[in-house]
Amino acid sequence: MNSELFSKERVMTSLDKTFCVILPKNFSKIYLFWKFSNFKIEKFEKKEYSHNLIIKILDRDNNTIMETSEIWNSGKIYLNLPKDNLSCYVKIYANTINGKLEEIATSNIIDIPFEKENKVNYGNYKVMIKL
Amino acid sequence: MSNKGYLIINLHAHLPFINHIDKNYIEENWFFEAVVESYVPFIRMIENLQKDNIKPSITLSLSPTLGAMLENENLEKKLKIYINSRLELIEKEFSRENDERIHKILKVYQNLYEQAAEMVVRYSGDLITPLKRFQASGDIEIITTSATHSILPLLIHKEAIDAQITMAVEDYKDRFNKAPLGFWLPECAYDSRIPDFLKINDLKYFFLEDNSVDLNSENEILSHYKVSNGLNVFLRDSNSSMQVWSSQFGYPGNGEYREFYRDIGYDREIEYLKEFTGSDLRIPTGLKYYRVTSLNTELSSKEYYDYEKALIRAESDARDFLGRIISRFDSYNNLKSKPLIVNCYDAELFGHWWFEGHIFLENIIRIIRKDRIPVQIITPSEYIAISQSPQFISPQLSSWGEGGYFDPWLNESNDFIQEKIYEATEKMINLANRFKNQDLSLLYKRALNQSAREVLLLHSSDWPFLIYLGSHREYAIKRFYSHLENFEKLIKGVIDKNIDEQLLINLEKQNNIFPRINFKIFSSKSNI
Repeated sequence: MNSELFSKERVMTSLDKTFCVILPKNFSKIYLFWKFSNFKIEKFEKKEYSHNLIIKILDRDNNTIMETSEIWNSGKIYLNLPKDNLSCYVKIYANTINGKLEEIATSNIIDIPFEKENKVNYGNYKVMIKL
Repeated sequence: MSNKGYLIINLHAHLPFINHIDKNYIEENWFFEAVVESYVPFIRMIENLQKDNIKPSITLSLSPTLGAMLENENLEKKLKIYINSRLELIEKEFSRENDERIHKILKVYQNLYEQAAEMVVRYSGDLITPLKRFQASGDIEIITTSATHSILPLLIHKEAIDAQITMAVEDYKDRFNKAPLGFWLPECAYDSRIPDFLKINDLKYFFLEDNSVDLNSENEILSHYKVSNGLNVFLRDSNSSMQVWSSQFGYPGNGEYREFYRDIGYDREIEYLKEFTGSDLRIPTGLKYYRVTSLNTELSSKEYYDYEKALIRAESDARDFLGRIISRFDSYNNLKSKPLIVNCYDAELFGHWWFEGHIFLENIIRIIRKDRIPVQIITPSEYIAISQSPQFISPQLSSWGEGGYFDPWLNESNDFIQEKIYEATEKMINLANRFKNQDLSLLYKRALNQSAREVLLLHSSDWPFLIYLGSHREYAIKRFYSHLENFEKLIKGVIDKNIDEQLLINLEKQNNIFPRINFKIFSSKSNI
């Protein structure tokens, strides 16, 4: 086994990542969650980044379709989309101490379906069976 | 008489993986109840039809987690104890009750549990054996689903989707000595990334909810399709499925059928029940003496169940079901092909919840034969073999769950698991990539393999669903965190080069699903 490649420090460093993920909940709502690397957390804690994040939802052509803000350490937020039937992703920005907007995380891209006629709730049966 | 159209009936059999070595959990009863009330009656139904030379052509999607439980020796021992305890309870009820109506019902249950006991002995506790035989004789087609029944669109890492599908296919090959042809997307949950992963694994078809595409006419609904990579798609017909599925609008709500909720577990004294249930809690025993009566009747006012009358009802409902199918076939006017109706249900609906469900199903199959009804029940692969030029569709994100999307598995009650799933999966992929080409000692390989099992178990759709429902919420949370903790301990051992071998042995014994797993299933591959 290559001991350099598998040194504890090296493995731990590779696991300390920033991530920002969106999941589709339905045709009008997405769930965003994020976690910052220790390096970025330190910047927030030292107030090198402002505490409020700017969250932008962009379409596949990078047009901003929505913008909101959220405190940096809440870690999650549900976002209502202004329209259905699109591909989108999220960028998270923080204001630096110099007043510049810095992009600090980018999410995966997901497809949002179009709104369909509401289906009959089959969940009832499942509720019953597991009781 | 030639048939007017085709009917696919797919029963999806799944339970979360449960294997507790240390003590008994009431959640194990899900498995025991499903075996006695659903899986054994299903096997008996196919045996009965075989004896009369009737080919059922039913499709069964069997989850790898349930497959593993059906072969598990620990659960087999507990199942025998469960069945015996119920037979003893039935004996006690015979002597406790003087009402002849209850005695008649008790005889039905006695027969049910005795048949289960007999079948468990006959197949040496391994109920996969008869299923394998039914498939070999062409009576049923068995397909698979994702390894731990994960909602695939909620997995962000392509390596995770690949691992869930690849592991399921490998598990199926080990269990059935052949490759699966079809794939059941758990909860019919679909996104456009999935077909390519299915294709890489040589799967030929999958099912989708009919709301996944914008269909306008009956002709469009009653057809067979392909997606852009050539995989066959069967759209579940929500209209006819509803007829069976719904307690409110469908057959199971009929007053003659057995009432699911009124169980003696809620009527008798706790002390009396404890001897048989082994629990201080009020839990269902499986013995239910009442019929639905009417949907508006209070549980306390339900009338006694009459099995003979319920059997008559099941036959007339089967005839009604077929009549509706025929009238839909008659309204179909595409001359290029015959219509196809695809019905998909949870296998546990039949027997466990709708007590007479198998009788209904067997009636459908027998009536078609006996009365020469022009409907042919067919398996998907048989249908593909005769189907000509299906159209291509581009399905959208969808599921068969509440609301038609992913709300039951992603909402304020259960969203806390998503970050943890993401992070654990990311770590597993990282480690798989790091170690995949290394000459590792057996201990390291075992630790990484067990880590992969724990991550797959984290992905299970059952945990968020149970948390959302509220029933068994604590159990679901406990299970989720136990797999997460197991994973973290194992990878810490790998990273620190200090693996706790006793912990590893214990986990290999308890979470012993996928005995031949290789952690490399989580590594990044060039073709995905």
